Amino acid sequence: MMNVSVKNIVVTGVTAGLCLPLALFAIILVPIPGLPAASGFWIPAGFYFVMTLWFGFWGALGGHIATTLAMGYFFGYTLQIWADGGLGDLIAPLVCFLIFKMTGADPELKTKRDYTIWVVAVLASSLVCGLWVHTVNLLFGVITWPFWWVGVLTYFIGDSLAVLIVGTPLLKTLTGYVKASSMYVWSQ
Amino acid sequence: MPRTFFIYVEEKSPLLKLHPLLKISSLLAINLLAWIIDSPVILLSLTITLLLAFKLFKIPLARIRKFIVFAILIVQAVMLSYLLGSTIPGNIVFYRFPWGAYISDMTLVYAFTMIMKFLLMLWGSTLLLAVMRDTDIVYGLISMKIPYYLAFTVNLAFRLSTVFLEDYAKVRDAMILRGTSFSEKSIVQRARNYVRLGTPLMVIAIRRMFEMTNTLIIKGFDPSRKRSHLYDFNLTIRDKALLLLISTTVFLTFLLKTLWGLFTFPGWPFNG
Amino acid sequence: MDEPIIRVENLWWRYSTSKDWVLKGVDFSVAKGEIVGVVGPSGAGKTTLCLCLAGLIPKEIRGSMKGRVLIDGMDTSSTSLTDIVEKVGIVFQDPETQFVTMKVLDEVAFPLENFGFSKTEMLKRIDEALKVTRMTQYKEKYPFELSGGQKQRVAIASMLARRPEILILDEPTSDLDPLGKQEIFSVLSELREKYGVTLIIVEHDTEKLARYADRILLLYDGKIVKQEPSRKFFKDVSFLIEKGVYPPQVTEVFYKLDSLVKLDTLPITLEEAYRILGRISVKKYALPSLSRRLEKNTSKPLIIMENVEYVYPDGTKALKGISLEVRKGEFVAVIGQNGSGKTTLIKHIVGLLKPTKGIVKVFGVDTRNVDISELAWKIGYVYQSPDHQLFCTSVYEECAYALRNAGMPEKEIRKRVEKVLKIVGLAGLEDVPPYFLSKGQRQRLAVAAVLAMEPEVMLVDEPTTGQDFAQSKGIMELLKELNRSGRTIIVVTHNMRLVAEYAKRVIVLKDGRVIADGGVREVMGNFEILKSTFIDPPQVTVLARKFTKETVLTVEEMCKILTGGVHVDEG
Repeated sequence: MMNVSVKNIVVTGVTAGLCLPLALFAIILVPIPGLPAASGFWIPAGFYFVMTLWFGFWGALGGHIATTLAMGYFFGYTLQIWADGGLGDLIAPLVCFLIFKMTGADPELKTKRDYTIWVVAVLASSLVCGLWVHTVNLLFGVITWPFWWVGVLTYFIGDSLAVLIVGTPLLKTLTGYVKASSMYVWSQ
Repeated sequence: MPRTFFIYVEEKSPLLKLHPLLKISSLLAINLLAWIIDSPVILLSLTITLLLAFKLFKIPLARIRKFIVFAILIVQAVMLSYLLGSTIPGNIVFYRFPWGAYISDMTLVYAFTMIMKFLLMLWGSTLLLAVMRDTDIVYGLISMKIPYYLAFTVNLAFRLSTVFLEDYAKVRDAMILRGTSFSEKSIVQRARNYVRLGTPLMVIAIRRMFEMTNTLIIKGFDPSRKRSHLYDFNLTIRDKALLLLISTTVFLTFLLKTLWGLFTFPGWPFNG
Repeated sequence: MDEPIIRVENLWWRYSTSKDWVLKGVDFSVAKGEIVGVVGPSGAGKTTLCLCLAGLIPKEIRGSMKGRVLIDGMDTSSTSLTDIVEKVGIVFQDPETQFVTMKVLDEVAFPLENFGFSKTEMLKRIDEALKVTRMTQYKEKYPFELSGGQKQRVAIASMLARRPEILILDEPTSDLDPLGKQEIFSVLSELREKYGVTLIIVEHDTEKLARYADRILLLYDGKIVKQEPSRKFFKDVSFLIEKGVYPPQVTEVFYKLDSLVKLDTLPITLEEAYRILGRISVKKYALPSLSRRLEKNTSKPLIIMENVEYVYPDGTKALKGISLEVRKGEFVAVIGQNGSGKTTLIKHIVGLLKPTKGIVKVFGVDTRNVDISELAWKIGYVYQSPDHQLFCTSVYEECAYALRNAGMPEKEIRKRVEKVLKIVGLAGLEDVPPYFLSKGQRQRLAVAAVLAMEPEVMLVDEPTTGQDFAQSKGIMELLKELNRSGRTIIVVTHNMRLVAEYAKRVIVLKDGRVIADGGVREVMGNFEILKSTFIDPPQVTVLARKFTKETVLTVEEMCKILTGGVHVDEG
């Protein structure tokens, strides 16, 4: 049984609370015709990717809760919504976190190597997530095969861009500030 | 008027008083039924029944009109997908695309069936959202014996989302007052402006994490410790009977479809 | 003699991220049922001390500790936090982060659930706690339906329900309006009277502490430099002021008049001051030297509001027919309870909101026809919370932000930034990220960032919240200098002492209407109007009313009056 602390719960709750309104905005501001509950620029991803890199699994869980609640608000609290976007947005930041862990990169992005790993990790996680989300959509019958490719590609591009554009300045400017806290997962 | 999940509902709606576990179970049941049932006629009947349920349970349809927009989005998404990307054989082929897909009579029927599935799920969610308070979601999770700390994170998400929404508005206003335009023509500049919002929001979020952790500890919150509850999540006999009815309906539907092929549509490609 | 319920023995504490010790040999004890006030300038270590007393340091927060803290005999370093928190409750400054559930009832029940209380016991204690804090009728409310003062009362109720023996309050009223403040202190005094709770209150408002605290500690640079019963604490006024703590005005007055009236102890409350005044007969005569009567300002109005009404989307009518003008060079204070419409009024002036009815004209232009970001160059708005308006990576960039948006040349930007950083006292910190600054520094940075735009009008919303008195005075002095150099200043504040000392004109709002608008002397002297909005005039103003119809605004004026023909009745 996982050892859960108060800090873990707070990280999840705060991440979810922060990302929920951002997710609602993202769906309204940049919808994609043909792909329900999708957004062309998934703003909250930038935040929960960063939260995951700083605080581990609990940041990703916060992103998952926010995505599920936000997508469901517009398109119904359905199994399909939870399985595609909800779970997808749990998997993606964890893939990124794993890559950082395996390569020993610094989330503060101090060196060129850190930057490169960051970009590669984001692209890899967005691709994995895009494949997951649209395979689920295909299995649920929301989309058909030709749209599967469209979905994966738009997801890959939209998510990667959002994470790189939103997440990079956050990592660069605030990692130093977060490192000082006992919640920072790399110092535990 | 009690505030439910982003909606205000008349106090007299009987669904409001339903046990949170029943509300969540009903939501799950509607979802499952929507996926199990493939018959377009039955799906259409269920969808119409749900819409009538709004009237029956005294939930003003006007309050859910914004969800009609999203229903339209779902309809167009599914239609586009099937019209442009399917190869469902039928009796009449109306049009063939250069890339191999075609529109047949069955394409339209299957597309209609899928739309009904999604609308059933959407209206079911909407009906229950209209009578589900934020607290119901949290209490519902607790009564489902999901670990309290998970239910509590959902509670925190609801609690903090309104606070962060206010923070977002304040930061945005402050940026406008320092010459930022959020309606820039250049998409790059617009993106940069929105990204800049991220830093203060994140700083506020991190500060809140520290303060909230201290607050929770001082209030004795400990995920590993057994706790009591102010509210009874006990089910009455009526609640148990309704729960049994809901689960039996879903189970029987699944059984009837699997064993005797009921609720299917001949030639349906997505059985089970 | 009973063992003290709190004993702090030679306590030293250093955070893992800081080089210096934050607490340096703190030593004191607190008897059961005592109310102890803790004062000191910002950065003295008061919050750190509170965290030590609550056991959060060293259990939850990383750092180095020497010495010990004993709570009812339990050493906080070796006792489990669960055992400590059963005895100790703590209420923090920000009411928002302390409300962790979605309803008042749930919030008060939350700690009881955590400790496994039975439902029957919970209901009993919840009722009790809500009754003491006067929140019973709000128990089904959501947090967004409550004011800041109400949320703080819920935070107290939530702690009280567990019946802690010790309650620590870290600046519980700094975010509250005068009514909210009064409500909190009235609840606190009842706690001690009826329930024998030991209270540790960190507070900048010495007038409140003087009235309620048995003893006061002065924490300065991590050390306790003074600890005395309240009466004796305020004796050495100059020492206190030197350490950044301003005593009650009545104390200051009689301290300055020491050469005229020999007193064994200085008064610390109005009632005590009245008794002393009764021994002194004062010749009544006019005081032409009292300045800051509102002089007729004939310049063109910069801001005109005509019959402005505003209704929020949820139907709340926040402004109900406001008409006023603000002219060049004025120093205006806008006062009123939370919910009176102050922030809505300010937002109309800067163009963030447009009136539902009526007109707002700024520099001759209807705000409905002008771009907000253009208007921002003429009217600078400084928010209450600096964190909402700092979005750059360094102090320099923060000040340069608006100037870059306007396309100003780099040379001009550098010149302006250096100038404003010097004015606010942040020169030398150009490369520091804003979030690493202290709250006071962040507030000054927010002022600098707006000042760099060189607006003709500065609108400052609650600049003194969460600041110690010396810092608050510093900000007001800065605004006074800006006013002297020709800028028009509009300040929203709850601090009546500072309003009386600095503002020339006061506008009082109540329920979306202007109920008073005039010279500071005129408005501060109208006790009835102020009472109707639960605002207390400064102590000296109330004190002076005992023997003169003149409205006295400051300690200095009071001394002038009392020294101009004072006959001491030795009988």
